[in-house]
Amino acid sequence: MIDTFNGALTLSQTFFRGMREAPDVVRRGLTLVLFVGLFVGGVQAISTMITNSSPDRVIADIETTLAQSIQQQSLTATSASQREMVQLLKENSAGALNLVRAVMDLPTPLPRPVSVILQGLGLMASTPLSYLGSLMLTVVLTHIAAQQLGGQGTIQQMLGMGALSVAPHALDALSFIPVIGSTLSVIAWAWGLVILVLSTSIVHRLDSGRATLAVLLYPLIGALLLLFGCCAFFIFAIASGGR
Amino acid sequence: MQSVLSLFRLGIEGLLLNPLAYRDQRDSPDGLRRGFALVAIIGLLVGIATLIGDLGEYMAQPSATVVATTIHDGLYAMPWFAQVSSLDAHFPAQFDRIFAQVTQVVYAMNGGGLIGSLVGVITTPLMMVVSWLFFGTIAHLMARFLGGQATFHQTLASTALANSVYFLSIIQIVPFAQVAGTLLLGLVAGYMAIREAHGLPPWRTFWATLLGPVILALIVIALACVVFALALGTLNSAVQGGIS
Repeated sequence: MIDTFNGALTLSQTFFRGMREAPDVVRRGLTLVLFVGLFVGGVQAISTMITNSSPDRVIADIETTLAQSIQQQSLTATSASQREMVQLLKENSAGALNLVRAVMDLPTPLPRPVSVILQGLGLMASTPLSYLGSLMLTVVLTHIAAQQLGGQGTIQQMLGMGALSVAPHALDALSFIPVIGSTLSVIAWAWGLVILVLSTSIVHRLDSGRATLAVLLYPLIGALLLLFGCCAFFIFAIASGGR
Repeated sequence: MQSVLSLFRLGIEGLLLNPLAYRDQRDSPDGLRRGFALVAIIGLLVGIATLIGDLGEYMAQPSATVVATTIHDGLYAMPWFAQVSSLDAHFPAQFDRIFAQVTQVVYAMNGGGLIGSLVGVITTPLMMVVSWLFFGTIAHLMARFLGGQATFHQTLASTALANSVYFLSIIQIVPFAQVAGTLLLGLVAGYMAIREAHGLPPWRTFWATLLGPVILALIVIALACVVFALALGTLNSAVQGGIS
């Protein structure tokens, strides 16, 4: 497992070629996803359990976020109705916080610490499948594009090798750290993208340009369709409003 | 016990997309019987796991009725409610009616709670068997149309193995756990099953695999639209009733 992890992170071509020919390529790939998911999910679960163990801390966080939101809205409010809305939010924020506190203080059949632990376990168990869900979409779209571009690999090879792109996401375990966490997640995503391009290139025996195109083709088409859809929606909304 | 273990091993090989397992399933004389048993057992395990997980969630959360009452009382206690009520004496009654409708929609979307999970122990294996037969039949017809050579028996035996990806749904035994990725992994396993059963080239296998789920998705979308329209109509009539 550690060899697979290191081989993926160091972009070792020898390792990638060896894995392509391995009969258990899917097992190795999915095992990597499982371990990275459990590691990240475990750390995030502990972080969430510490946060949720104290309802006062949760309420304080919500209070800070709400105050910041009202502050921002009062700065950007220009019309009388917007100022009235901000005033309404200010008057009702204490009541809203009391409501959240009342819901959090409701008794549960199991003691509160047990509930918090169960929620943490749920988060930990869900994380590998969450990575698998994203991976499957990426792998299927990339495989279809690679086949259209003349690729020769099988779906098993693509799934097993594509799973290597999850390895850098071990950095997501540090995502709870403010500022640095989100930067590390972006680094993990970019690193994973490079691994996916290399995997596609080796699995389908494509040059790096075609492999990059295979990885990006359908996401780009999807983004363009979304953009056109939004533009069409706005034009339609403006045209409807003008009547 | 031995046969259950061998079924479990077969399911794991199916989950890991091992082509040998799919070929073995295609060529086995009792492939269909084994496939049926595999699908039914996975469905039963998923149903039981979901029930246990839901029971854990039920024990770890306050009762839905108590939460609804607390939210209702909390909204009543907020300043906006007093302000609107002073302007319109009918507002509290209208609010109660709309709140009750919204609560009912939320309860319905939760899937019936523990009773729903208990019913799921029976309905999950049934639904899995029905969807396996539906997918297998459509995929077989499409694969034969595209030049496939397998018999109906062989197609069903292979596609049953594709259902082994739902082993992952057993994770729902952990309360609050969410399943993801099984739909696409199931399609990939279905692709493997059709390819190994019929020996079709990749693109023909792709279309033979995709047609069944596309028809099913269209049916589900149509049903969802009907349910959504009914829910929206109910909510709208409640709001209208409240305003008038």
